[in-house]
Amino acid sequence: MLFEIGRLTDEPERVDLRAIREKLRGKRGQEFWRSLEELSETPEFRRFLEEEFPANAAERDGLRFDRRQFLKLMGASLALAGLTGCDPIRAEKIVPAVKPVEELLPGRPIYYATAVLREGYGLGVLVESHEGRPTKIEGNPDHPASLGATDAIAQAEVLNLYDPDRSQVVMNRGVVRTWATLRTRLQEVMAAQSAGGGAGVRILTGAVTSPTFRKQIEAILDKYPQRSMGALRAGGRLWAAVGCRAPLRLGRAHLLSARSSAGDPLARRRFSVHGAGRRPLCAGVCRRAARRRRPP
Amino acid sequence: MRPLFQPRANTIAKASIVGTAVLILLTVVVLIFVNRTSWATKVGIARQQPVPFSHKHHVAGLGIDCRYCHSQVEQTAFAGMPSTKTCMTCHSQVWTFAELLAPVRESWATERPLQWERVHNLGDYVYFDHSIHVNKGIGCETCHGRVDEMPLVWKEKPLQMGWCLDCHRQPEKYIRPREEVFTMGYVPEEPQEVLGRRLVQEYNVQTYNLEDCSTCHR
Repeated sequence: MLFEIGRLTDEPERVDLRAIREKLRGKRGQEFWRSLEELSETPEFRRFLEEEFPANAAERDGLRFDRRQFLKLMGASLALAGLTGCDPIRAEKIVPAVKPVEELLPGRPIYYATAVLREGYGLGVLVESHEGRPTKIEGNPDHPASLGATDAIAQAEVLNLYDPDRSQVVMNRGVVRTWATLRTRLQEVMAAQSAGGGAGVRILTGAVTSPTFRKQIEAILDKYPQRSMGALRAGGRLWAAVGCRAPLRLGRAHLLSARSSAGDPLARRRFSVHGAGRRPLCAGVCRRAARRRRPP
Repeated sequence: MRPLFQPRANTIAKASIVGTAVLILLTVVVLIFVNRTSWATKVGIARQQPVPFSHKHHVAGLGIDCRYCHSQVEQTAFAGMPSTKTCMTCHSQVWTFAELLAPVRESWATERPLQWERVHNLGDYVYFDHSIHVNKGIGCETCHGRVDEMPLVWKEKPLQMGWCLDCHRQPEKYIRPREEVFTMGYVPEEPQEVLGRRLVQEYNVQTYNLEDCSTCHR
């Protein structure tokens, strides 16, 4: 029934989206507009706004169905809405795995112990995974840098796995390629570069603490002496300090002067240890408070 | 001029009021009854499956335990369906060329899963957990019937809310010892009223909230 009503107006479309698009063509990111006011200054936008939210729209556009008919349709839809419940039991399939995944019980999450990279350092975490889909990151109690704690960045890291901007396949100028193509192409390029000592080669990484990765990069650096190398990190420090960082015994401290924990791979541990040190005091206070609250 | 409404208009008006009421009532009654027929509940109607798997042969004939295939029934909400690999543990050795088992071998070779027709399907608004029922002494047989006598599985009970509540109101009528949960054709050794009441105590069945809406609709 509703399909017969068709377009609500017979007037030609006056919204000039094309002009708006034309204006925005070739602009990117912040250049679009700095504020809505800036955009709304243009006559195109004013017209667009009036078209979108017109006053007395029904009267002006001369709707082909009046209030009575509208109420009739509404009543009918309301009355018939319950009919969708009269659906016989729908046929469903059960599709078990061909080869079951070890330890996976469908309907139960599995927790994987792994590490997320935080400024070059691994932070031990447990990732909750439902039927192969990771959903939540929590700290790993057995990992010395975490002690069961994470921070906001590590918590948000799970979203990275579903980042739509992250390429899932090898792409070359918008076309899907295979890994084999990439390898062949890379070999060609690198062979051409080796003539000039690698003057055109750039390597971009985050901060690196992995000794293996470092060795691999150094092998490339030796081969192409003219190359340059840069870290994507804001500080620009490439090789993060590897080695022993003594965990402070904050559990004994009574007073702490807080400083920024950014860039401190053991920050989560320090928070936990310091927090644990404070607990007995708190527990005493809480116990007394609970005793007061308890009814006789 | 002839009046617009004849005297009989009164009768017609009264009759139509009563008629409408009766019609509405009748529709409701018919719908209630239709909902209880096996046409609606599918009780007793065997489902065709991609492989005509016979529980009768595997359970009664060979004596395979329920949990060999429905392996997670004691741990999760879902009882679990056997993977193709579970079938192939035996059928790579016995009946290796049987025509009936061709879909299983094909699934194994192509790594495409078998698609079984679901026989017992609850609404998405029902939170049903196999593990709690099995661990508190509700036998497979109580809800699924004598599966060991079914060549192709059918639904034994309507799985409607009234049926669920029947047991949730009086679990002592159906509870059995944990050792007998997977037994087919179980007969209690002592009177069910005595045994049931004792087991409800012993297994700590929390009868005070079994009838709460939120027990099943979460």
